[in-house]
Amino acid sequence: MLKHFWPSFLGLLLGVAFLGYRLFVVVMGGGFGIALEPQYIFYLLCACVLLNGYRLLFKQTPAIRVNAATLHYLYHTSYFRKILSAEYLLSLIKNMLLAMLVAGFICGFQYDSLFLWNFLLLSGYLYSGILLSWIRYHVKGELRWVTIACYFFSSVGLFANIYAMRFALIGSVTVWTVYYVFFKPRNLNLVKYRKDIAFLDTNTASASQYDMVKMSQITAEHNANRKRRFLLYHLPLKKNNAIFIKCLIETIRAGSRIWIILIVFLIIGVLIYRTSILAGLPVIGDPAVATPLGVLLIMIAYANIGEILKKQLNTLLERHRLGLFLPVSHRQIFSSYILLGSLVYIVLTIFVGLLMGSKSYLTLIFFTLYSIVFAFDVFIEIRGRKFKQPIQTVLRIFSLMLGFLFVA
Amino acid sequence: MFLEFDEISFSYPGVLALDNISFEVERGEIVGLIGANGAGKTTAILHIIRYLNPKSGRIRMDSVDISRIKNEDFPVSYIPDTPVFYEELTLLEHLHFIKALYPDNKLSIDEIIDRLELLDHLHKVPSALSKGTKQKLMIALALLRRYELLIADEPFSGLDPKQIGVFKQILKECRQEQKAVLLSTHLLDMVDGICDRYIMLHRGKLIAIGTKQDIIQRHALGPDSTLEQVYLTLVGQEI
Repeated sequence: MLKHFWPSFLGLLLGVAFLGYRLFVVVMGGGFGIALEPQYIFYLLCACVLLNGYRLLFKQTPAIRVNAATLHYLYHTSYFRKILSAEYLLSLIKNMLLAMLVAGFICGFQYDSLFLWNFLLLSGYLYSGILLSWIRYHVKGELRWVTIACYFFSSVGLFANIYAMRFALIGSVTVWTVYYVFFKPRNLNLVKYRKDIAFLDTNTASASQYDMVKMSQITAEHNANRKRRFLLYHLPLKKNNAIFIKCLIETIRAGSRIWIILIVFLIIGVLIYRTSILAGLPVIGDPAVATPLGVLLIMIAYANIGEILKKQLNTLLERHRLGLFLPVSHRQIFSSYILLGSLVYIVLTIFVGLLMGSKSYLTLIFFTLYSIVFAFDVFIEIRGRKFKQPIQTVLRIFSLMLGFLFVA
Repeated sequence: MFLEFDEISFSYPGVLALDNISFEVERGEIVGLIGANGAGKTTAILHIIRYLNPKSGRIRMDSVDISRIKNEDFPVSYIPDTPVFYEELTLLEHLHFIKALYPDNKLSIDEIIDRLELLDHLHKVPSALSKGTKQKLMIALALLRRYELLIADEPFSGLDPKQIGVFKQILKECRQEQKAVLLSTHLLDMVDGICDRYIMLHRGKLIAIGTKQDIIQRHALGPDSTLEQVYLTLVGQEI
């Protein structure tokens, strides 16, 4: 990978180094020994909560990984437990290092009792996230809900003002997860684990041989056979809502990667506009450029959500023409997509509005106007033939202008 | 007449795919649309399902031009030669989705799963299905619709002998229920005996139409000729 992609890696490394440096300079107020401002502590803790949330709710692969051959040959021997314990220990060390870094930021890298308490709490919180993810990966039924409850309680504990409460909540969750993992080691869902580990190992082997075609094929097959949690017929399916529900399912299954990329766009846009983290860069650092760039990044996320929905709509209509007939009018198909788009946009607009500190009436106006633009865009996609391209370009420009209204 | 395919002509760039073709399909009959590859069978079907618009001529169902029938009322169910699916839905989700869109069809999902032996594949997405199972799913989806005309384009492709028998039985049941069936294939021995009438196409031209006996008598062929022999004689390619 390094041999083939070294320029990208180098660029990425430089970018991360610069961002890290800027983050350090900005949040530390220019040096060591100064504790972080309260709002930045809040953001850091939010990032920890998001990290554990991702581990628990979205990550599909096991949190603790052993080699596929190790699992196959040593599972029934005492060695396996030792290897697994070593993996637990390795994970603990990684999370302790991360906790040390976060606690260091919070306390201005002053190694006093405050640093120690924060370090212990964050270590417990982050490691319990790994263990909860590990437990959730293997269990079925009620225990899956218990893991979510644990995540909720420990996250509440992270933000509690009273130290005793923080220790009580995070500590109890950590103790329970450690007890469950270490004293009930035979609760592994071996069939699932074996299958996933084999997939990960094959994929890693293909990557090491630069076999991108094989990697794509393995991933496509794995995704095709993946068990889906949320199924179409779990919802109250009727003739008048079938298209909407199908569209919803399709959007959920679009893949977490695309949503993560869009959220990254939003967050970078917010960071550029609301903070001075990137202020040191030659062009982006200029406030005259930072504002339009921030707006552009946010609106790219909005536009891409529209593109995802429009692509789904086009596919549905093409399938309809090819023989998967839908006994509904174009108007009903159109309405289903507009409704789903509006729901996604309202959630997104509230989220972005809160991050940007936009006024509520501007948020409402933006949402209303953007939904109209989206509806018109979808309509043009279905009906427009002659002037589709120029009209959609005008809509893009108009939505960008709306972005300025919203952000300003 | 239920379906009137009236003087339809259509060309792809440089190729005349249908040359002034006319035929009719009545309710309660199975009509075989047969011909070699490139004869124009699929092009004719694509006109009936409204994927293509005729350059000349008209297609009517119950005397109504098909371009004027709303999606909600379009009485056609179609099994395409290349399976078409929603890639993100599992087999069972496909069945539930189509069933929800056609709630008045009496056929239940369990019944169709049982009949087409789909039980082992319910939670797989189309890309994980074998060719035969994909074809069975297409048949299942077609049968879950509300239709007066069932069009099947090369429906035997990928099916095992048992499932071919099941599908032929389903076609006969459609005939009993007074539904029209248009069966397109180039595997002539597969449809020999189950169709009431045949429409024979060759390079975009209609070369014969009628029952097998009618065609044999009209062209003075041997009374025991198979459908394959009849077709090959008519196109001048004796075995």
